[in-house]
Amino acid sequence: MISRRTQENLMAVAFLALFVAVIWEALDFGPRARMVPLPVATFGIVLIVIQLIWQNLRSTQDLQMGMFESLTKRGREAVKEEPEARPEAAARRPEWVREAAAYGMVATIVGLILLLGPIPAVFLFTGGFFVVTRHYSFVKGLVYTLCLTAAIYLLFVVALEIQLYHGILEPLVERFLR
Amino acid sequence: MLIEAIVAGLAALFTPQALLFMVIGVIYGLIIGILPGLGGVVAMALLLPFTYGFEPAATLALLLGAHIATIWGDSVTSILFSVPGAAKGLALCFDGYPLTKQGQATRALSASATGALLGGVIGAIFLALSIPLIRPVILALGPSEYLMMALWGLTVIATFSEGSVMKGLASSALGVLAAFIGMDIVTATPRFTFGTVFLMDGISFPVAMIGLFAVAEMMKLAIKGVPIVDRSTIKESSTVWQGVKDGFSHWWLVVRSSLLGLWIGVLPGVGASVAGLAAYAQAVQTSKTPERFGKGAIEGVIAPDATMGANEGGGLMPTLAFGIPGGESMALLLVAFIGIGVVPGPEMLTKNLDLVFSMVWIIVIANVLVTMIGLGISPYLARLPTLHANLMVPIVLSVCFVGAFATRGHIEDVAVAAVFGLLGFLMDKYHFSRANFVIGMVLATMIERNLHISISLYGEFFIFTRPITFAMFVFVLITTALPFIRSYRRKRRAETMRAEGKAA
Repeated sequence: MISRRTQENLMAVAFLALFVAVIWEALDFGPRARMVPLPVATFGIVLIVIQLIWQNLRSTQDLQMGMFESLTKRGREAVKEEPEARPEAAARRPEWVREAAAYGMVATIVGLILLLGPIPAVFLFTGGFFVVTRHYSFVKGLVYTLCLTAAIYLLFVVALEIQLYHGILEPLVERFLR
Repeated sequence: MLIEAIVAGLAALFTPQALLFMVIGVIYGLIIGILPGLGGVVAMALLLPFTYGFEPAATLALLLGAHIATIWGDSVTSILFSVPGAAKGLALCFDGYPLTKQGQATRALSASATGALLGGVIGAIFLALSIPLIRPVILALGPSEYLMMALWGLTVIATFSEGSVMKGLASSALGVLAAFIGMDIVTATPRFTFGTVFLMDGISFPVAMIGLFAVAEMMKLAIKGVPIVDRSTIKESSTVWQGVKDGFSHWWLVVRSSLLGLWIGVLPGVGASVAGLAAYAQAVQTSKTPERFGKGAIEGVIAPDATMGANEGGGLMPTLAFGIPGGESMALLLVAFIGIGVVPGPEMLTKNLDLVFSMVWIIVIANVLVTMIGLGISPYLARLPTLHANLMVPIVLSVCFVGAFATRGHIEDVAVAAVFGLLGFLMDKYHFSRANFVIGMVLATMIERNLHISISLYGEFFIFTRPITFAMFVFVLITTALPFIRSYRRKRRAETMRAEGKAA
């Protein structure tokens, strides 16, 4: 299990790498094109380096300069994390598992949209979500899924006349239906 | 002549067609404003084809009515879900969302609607009175002054963010860099496109917002597995009239915020996002109990909404007087003007003054309509955060990703929304401010464009050769350094008191 401090350091290093990559890319631009990106990325590197040094060698409270204390001259209060109310079922699963599930959820809906197009993806994702979570009965979940899919179709396709993307698998689906 | 124009402007709106179009525009704008990825610009763009062939007052009533309504629609998502529909709704997340979690969503929404109404009305009145004064002010400011204003907006939000200032400024820097993806409009250089055609157009701002806020929040909700507001533990304890009373009881805050919004709106391109945050900052600074802010202070909702209400009226001025749009929505309005045969320019403030006042009246009446509808539906909207995560997550994610696709019709935008969703989730988890990132994205183009123009016009040392620019530059440095100076002095004082205590 990675400690919080290590996670913070990794995140800061990721930001640092991003700023360095920007400078690397910007060196290929002309002088006017890199006039703003280069100094901004450099400034970003300085900030992250200071943050890294400070959070590892000194108290991070020194960097907590909330707007309220800067405006009101009041003493600094410790930054408190909100206590999270978790249902028993979720509390049994470690946080990293729940986070991985959240990443997977986003990847799933994006993958479905790319493969099948928005409307079929909405139907499958929503229906699948209700089935997996078992929050509603099958019939109720199906009704909600159909209602949501219909609402999105009416709003985006009928009312706003958005041209839909049909998905990478569209030729296969058409052939199958024929 | 002014009074005649005011009366003529109002009379032009009292036709069945104009009134009907305004009602349609307002209802349509409210629906569009609440949907992620769609906002004032999209609402007006979709309406444009339907405006040709009608009388000018009806056309303007439809377009402006829709635009005004989307402002409150943006506020709804900021308050209920901490998902700003647009950058200008960011400030509402700071106190609006905590109020929702405390079971006071109805109060927050109705205070928001009341603040927007009062701000819109006050802004319209002062706009009408200050029309003769505004023109020389606008003419006195040049690109270098706008550059300083953009820099000020960037630094003030970073120093006003919770948590580490370094992280806040780094988030702003990253947001600025994200805005540079695509074709540079000054040098026609493709930047950070990696040879892809899709990235030549850059990252769509609404898509980035959908990812950073909506997708990230749904990921957090899925992980928590509980509703935003659990009604079994937190009952909805507020009423619509509480919010309305709040709006009127803080009338001086409303007036100050409205004037701030009006004057920032007058400056073309500065944007409502800066106005909302500036209003929030002044509300904190002038409050006798600033420690309540960030935890559900109603003033934190009223001030930004009053500012945003007035901001629209201010944005009309450079659009009408100079043909310089105050923002994207004003750019669309310019297109509509051409369609109905109106040419923006100095003549708008002389020969076509009645049309200008028609628009001012539209802003007032549309705000009244939005507030009436908003107050009516607030109690029902307040129930939305109580929906279980297992119902809300698939619905919101579906609407978000389809909305992301719908902004430009590019399927790649769906992937972009997902990437920004992951980024937003990580930024939130490790306390890198997403609000700062968004402001950086918004102000980046303004900074770069005005920097290039300033150097071309005034030379490389323009900061020192233009007095107003130099004064603004010093102001930016002071506001950036102020939190550090205060923190240092506070630490010294604490150490001195500790030493004195030990000696005693």
